[in-house]
Order: sequence, then structure tokens, then C-alpha cells
Amino acid sequence: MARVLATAVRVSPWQSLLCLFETLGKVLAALSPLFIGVFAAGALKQDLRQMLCAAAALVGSTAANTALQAVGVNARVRQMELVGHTFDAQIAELTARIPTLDHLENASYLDKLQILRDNENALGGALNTLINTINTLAYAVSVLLVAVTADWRLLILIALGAARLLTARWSMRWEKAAEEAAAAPGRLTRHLIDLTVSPAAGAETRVFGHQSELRRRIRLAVVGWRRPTVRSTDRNSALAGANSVLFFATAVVLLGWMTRDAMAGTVSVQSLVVAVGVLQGLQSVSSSFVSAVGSLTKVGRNCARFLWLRDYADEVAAVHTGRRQPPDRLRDGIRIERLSFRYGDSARDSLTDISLDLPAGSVVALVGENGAGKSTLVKLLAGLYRPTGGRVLVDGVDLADLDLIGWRSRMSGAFQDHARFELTAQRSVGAGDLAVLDDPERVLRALHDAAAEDVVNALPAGLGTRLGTTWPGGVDLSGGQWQRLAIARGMMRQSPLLMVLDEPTAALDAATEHSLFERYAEARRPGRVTLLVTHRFSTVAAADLVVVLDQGRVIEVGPHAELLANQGHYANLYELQGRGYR
Amino acid sequence: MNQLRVLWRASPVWSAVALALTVTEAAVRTLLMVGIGQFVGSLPASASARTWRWFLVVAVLLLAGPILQSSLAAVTARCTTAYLVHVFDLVAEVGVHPRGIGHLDTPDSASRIRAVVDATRDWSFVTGAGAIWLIIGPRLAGLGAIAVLLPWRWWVPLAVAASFLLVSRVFMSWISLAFDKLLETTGDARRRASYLRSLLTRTESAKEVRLFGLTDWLSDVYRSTWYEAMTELWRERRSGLGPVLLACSVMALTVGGAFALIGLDVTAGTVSLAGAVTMAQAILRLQNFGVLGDAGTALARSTSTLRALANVRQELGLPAIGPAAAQAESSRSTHAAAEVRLDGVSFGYPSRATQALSNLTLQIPAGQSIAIVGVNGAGKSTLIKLLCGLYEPDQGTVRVDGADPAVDEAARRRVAVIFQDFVRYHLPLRDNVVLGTATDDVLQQSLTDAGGLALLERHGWDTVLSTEYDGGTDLSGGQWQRVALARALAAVAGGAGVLVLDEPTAALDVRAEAALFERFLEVTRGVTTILVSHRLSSVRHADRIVVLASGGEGIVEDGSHDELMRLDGRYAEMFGLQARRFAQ
Ligand SMILES: Nc1ncnc2c1ncn2[C@@H]1O[C@H](COP(=O)(O)OP(=O)(O)O)[C@@H](O)[C@H]1O
Ligand SMILES: Nc1ncnc2c1ncn2[C@@H]1O[C@H](COP(=O)(O)OP(=O)(O)O)[C@@H](O)[C@H]1O
Ligand SMILES: [Mg+2]
Ligand SMILES: [Mg+2]
Repeated sequence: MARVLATAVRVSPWQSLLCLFETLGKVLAALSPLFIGVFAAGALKQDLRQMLCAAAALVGSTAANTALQAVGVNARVRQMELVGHTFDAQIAELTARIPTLDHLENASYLDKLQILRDNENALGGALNTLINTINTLAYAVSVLLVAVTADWRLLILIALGAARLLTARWSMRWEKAAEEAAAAPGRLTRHLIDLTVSPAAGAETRVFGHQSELRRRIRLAVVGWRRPTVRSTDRNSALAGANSVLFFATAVVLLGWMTRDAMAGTVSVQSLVVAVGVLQGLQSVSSSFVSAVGSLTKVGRNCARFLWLRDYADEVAAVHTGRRQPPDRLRDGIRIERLSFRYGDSARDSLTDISLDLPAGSVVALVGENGAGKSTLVKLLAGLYRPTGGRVLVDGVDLADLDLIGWRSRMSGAFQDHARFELTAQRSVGAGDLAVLDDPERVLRALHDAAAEDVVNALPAGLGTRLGTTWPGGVDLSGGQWQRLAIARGMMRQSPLLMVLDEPTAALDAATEHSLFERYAEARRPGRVTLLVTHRFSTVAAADLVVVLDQGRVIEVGPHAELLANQGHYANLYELQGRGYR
Repeated sequence: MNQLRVLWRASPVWSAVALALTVTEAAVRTLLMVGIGQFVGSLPASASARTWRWFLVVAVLLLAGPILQSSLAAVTARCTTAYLVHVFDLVAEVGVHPRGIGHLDTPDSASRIRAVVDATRDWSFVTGAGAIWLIIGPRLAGLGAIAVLLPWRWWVPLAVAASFLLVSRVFMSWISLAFDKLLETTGDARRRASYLRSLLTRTESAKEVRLFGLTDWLSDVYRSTWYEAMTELWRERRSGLGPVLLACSVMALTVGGAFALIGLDVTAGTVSLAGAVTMAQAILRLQNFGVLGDAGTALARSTSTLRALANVRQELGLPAIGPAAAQAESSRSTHAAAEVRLDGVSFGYPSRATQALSNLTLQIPAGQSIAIVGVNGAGKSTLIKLLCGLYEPDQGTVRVDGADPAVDEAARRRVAVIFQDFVRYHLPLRDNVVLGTATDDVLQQSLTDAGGLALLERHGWDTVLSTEYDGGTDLSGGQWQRVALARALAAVAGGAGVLVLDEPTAALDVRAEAALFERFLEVTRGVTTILVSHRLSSVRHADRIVVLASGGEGIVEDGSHDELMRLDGRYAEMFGLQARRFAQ
């Protein structure tokens, strides 16, 4: 929390000061019962001067309050945006800097991360809450002072507020539980709403006639998302109601006592007016302490999430201590030793005890049925997960001892579920090698290597065209075209040690696929391993080495011809596909 | 006010209860003012009976306040739920109601729809839904204060209230300028900033971001894009502050004058002590017409979001704040195969200069199985979307069983399709196969036919297919494809007469693909099938194959596998490329 404040002051000290204008306004507002008391006393004495002085003070407390508020709000909103952004940027950076993917795929991590990730301004909102809290507290303290000047008995009421603070713990527990219970249905709501406005999902919705069903699901999801909040509000407002009734009942007794004294002349009319006037304010004192504690806890929770993220990032960084840089070129190649992997809370291994040699300078084809673990292996090679067992050796050096950023900077490729970067075509491809991000020649070369020139040629503004239809002047691509851009992105780096292509041609037409594979064959370079995942045997046959995965295990390894001769699993699959062409 | 009308539409009962509570609370506050005045005023007279009577009134009113407030909080939560259900439904309707999908992929309207969706995710939107009662209550109490002051000098409360209203107006217009601007002028830049951030944090892009080391670069671009958008906005906001301060000075003068008048009247003896205390409170209460803090801001923002939503809806021909009349749900009555005809169809995407299809004619008799092949970007998917009536052709006609699927819901529902980028619902397996009601038989049969039985055995019908939910699981691409296939097959079982598969086997492994096509003919007997695929080994089994060329050339080859092989044209060449390895 201190961090939020510190950040606020750091990003803009003057604006932080201006935020306090609002606080000043609140204090003035809190003083108004006192002024009314003075005004009443003046009226009683028929003292015009006293009344005018009180009136002037009252005007100050209204007009000045508003003016100060306007200036303060402006400062506060801006500050909130600025601080929010500062944290948003940090959160995004932290999230993206964690080298592994568990925190983005595992439900238990996502629950914690989501609020920070999806609610932009989650911590800017925290600052807002913090400033509001300061304001209410300043107001509360001023009210207390006014009360004390009126009559000491009012202090009894303040003592009552302590009881309220005790029950505040429950409210907070309820709120926290509600927030957590609402997270998953909230996520579902977002997802379903996104589906209704996405063109691809929109097409399917219409053809299958899902329109009303989808809307029904959204309604259900929203209700599910809100239900915990409604329940916690019920409990909280019942609690608050009970507290207030207790408060005012006591207040009434005290007022009665004061009235008797006023009639006896030991309490002045002015004090009584101030006392009555300050009651509402006094009541809000305990509730503002409660809500202050409440909002601070909420802020604290978001801050805690932020800290969790930082700690998690540190933790992952601490586990991966490797700092060695990868070699300039591979001498021996990549060796996989008894590698096993299991996803988060999955019940079974996705890879079991895999041992493999991927010699430098070779093109290795990885084949296997869906779910065999091919993509998992690819991601492990990229260091996106930590193996559950075994290791990967790069020229004899354990991947765990390598600097991951350094290692990845010497890798390249395309993943099966590739990203669609809705930037300009130039940058969407150029991102594959940031050093030459804006160099059109290099991008054109990569497009050529990926047999994707015609994708860009067909764009209205060529490389400068923005991709994605939700952007002004943006253009959409077909699935195959996006895939080719992803491959081109993978072709940007000039001399990677390891090139992974995970089913790169699944969506491509025969001619493009063919010309691509001719280029892969050329891509065979000394000092590099090319790993190709594909179902197309016409491609596999050209590889130096074929690895057959089945249910997370390597069942066959060898050159194409050898495996065919073995009449095993591979030969079987090959025959199956070949039959279609004979 | 717009928001009230929406609330009313969303839940008349809860809105009415909330309104009743709000009004009662305002009345209690007004009476309390009078009560306190009378109570204090009766003190110097030391007529103790009267003092105690007013004391009792004040006591009861003091106790009533918190009870009303607590009830209002509970009611507001329910009201807000109903409101959110309603508004999200309106948003969803924007997406799904229009017959075509042009509004979702034309940059102009798509970006405005996106902006509305994003705005509904802002904190102020949910807060703003409840804030209305925090605004109405005080305003009503302000009316009470006017009523109290009217008998004294009717023009004073009106003038003071007017000056507060002026301040509030100026303040609100400043706020809405600041925030409407957020939605409009800087909207795209801010959205771009959010998008860049999402690339850093989303799972979809996580692998590439790490592989290519994009973190620093994306962070930098995110930061600079954001600052660029906001700096401009901040300037505008600051310059709008002047009029607010001016309005405040006007208000200060009016309020000061009002107090001075009371003072003069007291010294002149026309106003009693009780009156002075009541009136002083009432004048201060008129502040309620002024600026109302965060609740006001949140309300202004959510109102402007609602306005943007209403605008988008009206442009699409939807009622601004209520759902459109339900379309007649047409059930598919026939189960026979459908005939498909495209006559001289031309179509170009609005954002593209060149046409995706030009003057295309294709007739598919009922029950035929046809394959469409062609390079990426030839327009195969576009053709299919036209066939589903998702776009209207610029020229020519599209007919399914003689009816236009872009107009006739029944004709569209005769088509079952798996698009290239089919939907992956974050819902249980069951709903991913059939979203809606279906018998277990249909579900089971469809999944079996799609080769996804193993999936069912592993996960069961009720596992959510996303790891973002407790107990959820992710499927590999191939597994997903089977689910999508099952979805289409279930639609066929439900009466669709054309089955369209847009690259259904792209992510399937060899065995799965072979298994699929072995059963394909059997499963699709009795429907017209249109298959788009680059796997020519599967394509060859179709009754008829058409080759679609890119660049508006249209259909360049048309015939059975054997005919096209004999023709020795593009198809034969493509087939040769793929078959070469297997020719032994
Ligand atoms: N993020 C994930 N969380 C849990 N299980 C996963 C995840 N990704 C893949 N799996 C499971 O791991 C196994 C291997 O998947 P994958 O490597 O994608 O297979 P392939 O690429 O060979 O089709 C499958 O059973 C799949 O369901
Ligand atoms: N929503 C869209 N907006 C603009 N252009 C599009 C859109 N969808 C596809 N296109 C373009 O239309 C052409 C045909 O695309 P498509 O029908 O998807 O090809 P295919 O399915 O044959 O690969 C391509 O040049 C593609 O970039
Ligand atoms: Mg895979
Ligand atoms: Mg396509």
C-alpha cells in the first residue's frame, strides 16, 4: 500500500498535493454543524454580526468545498490513471517476464492473477480508494473535533463505534469470499460476451442458431457472477443496520440527557444544535472507519496480489538459476535424457521418460497422433515449462544451466496455436527478430522463406497494413494466411541453433506446403537442429531422423527408410496415408 | 434519465422498491430538518411538553434512517444484478442479432462495438449501476429542502438551488467531456494500448512473447502509446476546469445572500429561532443539487456507456434499451438433403479493394458430396460464409433449397458447418457438442461418429474444456477438431441438409483422419456435403471436385477425381505434389 502511495508521489508529486485539496474541502464540510450552531446562537441573541460571520463560514464550506473538489477530482482521476498505468505496465512486464507458462494456464494461479491482469487500473483504483479513505478519515476526525467542542458526552458514541470496528472483520471476510466466488463466473461472462462480438464466433452462432441460447448462458453467467456479491451485501447491510440502530438509540438517550440539562440551563442552545447537527456525521464516523478499513483491506488484497506476482516471479527466477550463454553454433546437438513432464494438476504424465539425440545439422521430424505429446516436447525445448524429470542437454550443457533469454534468442520457429499479432503486417512478422523489426527487406525475405509473399501482396497497404478488423483501416486474414505470417515470423532470425515448427502447414494448401518444405530442406545447416512436427509424410520422408511419439513415449526412432523397413507403427501410419494417394 | 429507464426495463419490481425506499428516506431527512428546527426552537420557551414531543419525533426519524439505508443497500444489489443481466444481454444482442456478421468485421462498427464492450468492463460501470440511487436520494432530499423554504421567500430556495444546479451541470459536462472523450477521440489509441498490454499478459501470445523476447519492446510500445493518448486528454480536462470554478463563485454569492437574508429577517423578528435553524439546514441541504462525488462520476460514465450502446443498437436497427422482439425460432422440419445454388455471385469485403469472389456460379444437387480446393486466400471460406448467409453478395444470388439464407432463417438452419476457426466454448464438453438441449443419444452418436469417444471416456460430459476453471481441462488441437466435428454432426442429426467442413482435418493425425473419412460417407449419407481441404487424399473421394483459383478467376476446374487427373491441370499438379513421396 505504501508502494501505491510512493508510486503516486513519484510519478507526479504536484498532482498528489492537489489531491489533498479535496481533503481540505471535506474538512470544511465537516465543520458546518459548528457554524450552524454559531448561527443559531446568533439568532437567539439577535446578533446580526455573529450570524453573518457564521453565514460567511458556511458559504466557504459549500462553495470552497465544491471548487476544491473539482480541482481535487481532476488531480485524483489523473493520478489514478497515471498510477494505475504504472502498475499495469509493471504487472504486464512481470507477467511476461516469468519464463514459464504455469501462471497463465493453471486455474489456481489464474484466480490470483486474473484481477490484476484483466482489470486495467486495478491498482490505480487502489490509489483512488486510498485517497477517498484519506478524505473520509479527515472528515471523520473533523467531525470528532466538532463533537468534542459541543459536549463531552458525545464521546460515548465514539466508544460505541469501537464495537463496530470489531464486527468489521466479518464484513471483510464476507467480501473476500464473495470476490473469490465471483471470479470464475465473471471470467465466463467475459468469455461469452467476447464470443458474441467476435466475427468468427458470430458466424457459428448464427449458423447453429445459438443466438438465444448464448444469450441465456450470458444471463446465467451474470447472475452467477453477481450472486456472491448480493449475498455478502445482504449480510453486510444487515450488520450495518444493526450497528446504526444501536448507535442512534444510544444517541437518542444522550440527546435526552442533554435536553434535560439544556432546560436546566447547564447546556447552551448552541451546543445542543451542534450536537444534533453532528449526529449524522458522528454516525458516519464509525462507518467511515469501517469502510476505510474495508477499502484498505481491499486495496491491501490487490497489493497482496501484486506482491504475490512479484514473489512468484522471483520464485521462478530463483528456481531457474542458469546463466550460461548458449554456444555460437551446435557442435554435437541436443540430447534429451529421461525427460518426463506432467501439466500442473493433471493426473498423468504428458511425456514419460523420453531419451533422444537430435544431432547438430539435422532435420528431425516428430510424428505421432494427437495428444501424443509433440507440442509439449517442443515447449519444453523452449524452456516454457520445467521438466518434471530428466533434462535437456544443449551441447552437453543442461538447459537448466543456460540463460533462458539467451537460449531463446538463439531459437526460432512457429507454434501450433500461434499468436495473431494485430499490428502492422511489417511488425507482426518483424517481431520475430526485434533487431530488424522495421526493416522491410528482412521482413520480405522472411515472407519469401515462408512462402507467404502473396499474403502481403494482397493487402491494401502492403507491409504497412494494420491487421485485425477492429482497428481503423484494419484488414482480416484467413486462418491459413495468419499461419503463414506466423511461419514468416519464425523465419526472421538468421542463424538459430534450434528451429521448431509445430504443425506449420496444417492450414496450408498443397502448393504452398510443397514450396515451404523445399525451403526447409535448404534450411539444413551445420550447427543447427530443425525440429518439425507434422502429419504429412511427404515431408517426414525428407527428414534425417524420424521420431515417433505415442502417448508420451518414444516408440520408434530412425531414418524414414529404416522405419519403413521395420514395419512398425510408423510404417503403418505411412501406409495409411499413402493409400489415399494410390 | 436513460439509466432509470434501463433499470425499469431490467426489473420493474426492484426498481420500484428501490425508488420507494429512496423517496421515503428523502422524506425522513426533510422531516428531520423540520423536527430539529422545532425541537431547538422550543427550548428557550421552556415549554417542556412541546420540547419532549419534538424530541420524540427527532428520535424516531433518527432511528428510521439507518434501517431504510440498509434495506436500500440490499435492494440496490439486486437491482444492479438485474440491470447488469439486462445490459449484458443488450450487448450480446448487438453481437448476435443482425442476420449477417458484417457489423462485427467492418473496422468502423467493430471498433465501436468493441469500445462499448470494453467500457462495460470498467470499474465505473458496475458502480454506476448502483450509484443512481445515491444520486436520486439526495436530489429528492434537496426537493424537500425547497419545500421547507418555499413559505419563507419562494425565490430564495429556487435561486440557491439553481446556482447549485449550475455548478453541477458545468461539473458534469466537464466530467462527461473528459470521459466521453475517453471513449471517442482517444478511444482507439487507448484500445491499442490495452491490446499491446494484453499481448504481454494473455495466454494466447505467451509462447511467442517468450520465444522472441518481446517483453521489453511490447512494454515500451505500450507505455508510449498510452502516454500519447492520455497527455492529450489531460490537457483538455484541465482547460475545462475554468468554467467550474466560475460557477462556484456564482454559487458562493447566492448562498451568502440567502444566509444574510435569514439573518436580517431574524433581527427584524419575522423569523423565529426554530425557523432560522430549520432554514439554515435547508439551505445547506440544497447542496444536494450540486456535485455528488464519485457516485456522480460513476453515473456519468456509465450513462455515457449506455448512450454509446444505445447508438450502436439504433444503427443496427435494434430498440435502444429493450431487447428486440424475439425472432420466431424456426425448427428444421425437413430432414432431406438440400440443394445449393450460387448464381453469378460477386463479393468483396468492405475493407479490401479487391473482390474475394467475382461472378461465381456453382450448383450442387441435393445429396452430392463436393470438395472445394484452392490456394490460401482463394475465397473458399468466403464462399462458405455466403452460403450460410453471413454476408449478402454484392451481386448474384445464393439459394439453399430455393431460399436465401441471408434472409430466411429456416434456409440458414439447413446448413451445418465447421468453420476453420470454430468456437472453443469455455463450457462443459456436453455444451461444446450441442449448445442447448439434446438427447444423450444424439450427443453420444455425434461424438462417436467424430471419433471423439476416447475424449468422453477420459473426461466425461461435464468437464469444462478450459483450464481457466476449476476442474477444467484443455484439449489438443486435434481433440478440439473432433469436438467441432461432433457439433456439426449433431446439427445434421437435428435436420440440417448441407454439411460444410472447412478444413476439418487440418489438425488431425493420420489415423484420425483416415478413421474420419472411413466413416464419413456413412455418417453423411442423406446430406449434401461440402468439403474444403488441402488433404487431397481425402478430397479424392468426393463425388465432385471444384478448383477455386484466387484473384477472382473463379472455378477453373470441375469434375470427379479421375476426370481432373485426366485433365492434367492444377488439381492433378497439386495431387502429384502430395502423392510423390508415396509413389513407390
Ligand atoms: N496446458 C495443458 N494443461 C493440461 N494438459 C495439457 C495441456 N496441454 C496439453 N495437455 C495434455 O497433454 C497431452 C499432450 O498434448 P500435446 O503435447 O499438445 O499433444 P500433441 O501436440 O502431440 O497433439 C494431451 O493429453 C493434452 O490433453
Ligand atoms: N473479414 C475479412 N475482411 C477482409 N478481408 C478478408 C476477410 N476475410 C477474408 N478476407 C480476405 O478475403 C480473401 C479470401 O479469404 P478466404 O475466403 O478466407 O480464403 P480461403 O478460405 O480460400 O483461404 C483473402 O484475401 C482474405 O485475406
Ligand atoms: Mg500439438
Ligand atoms: Mg479458409
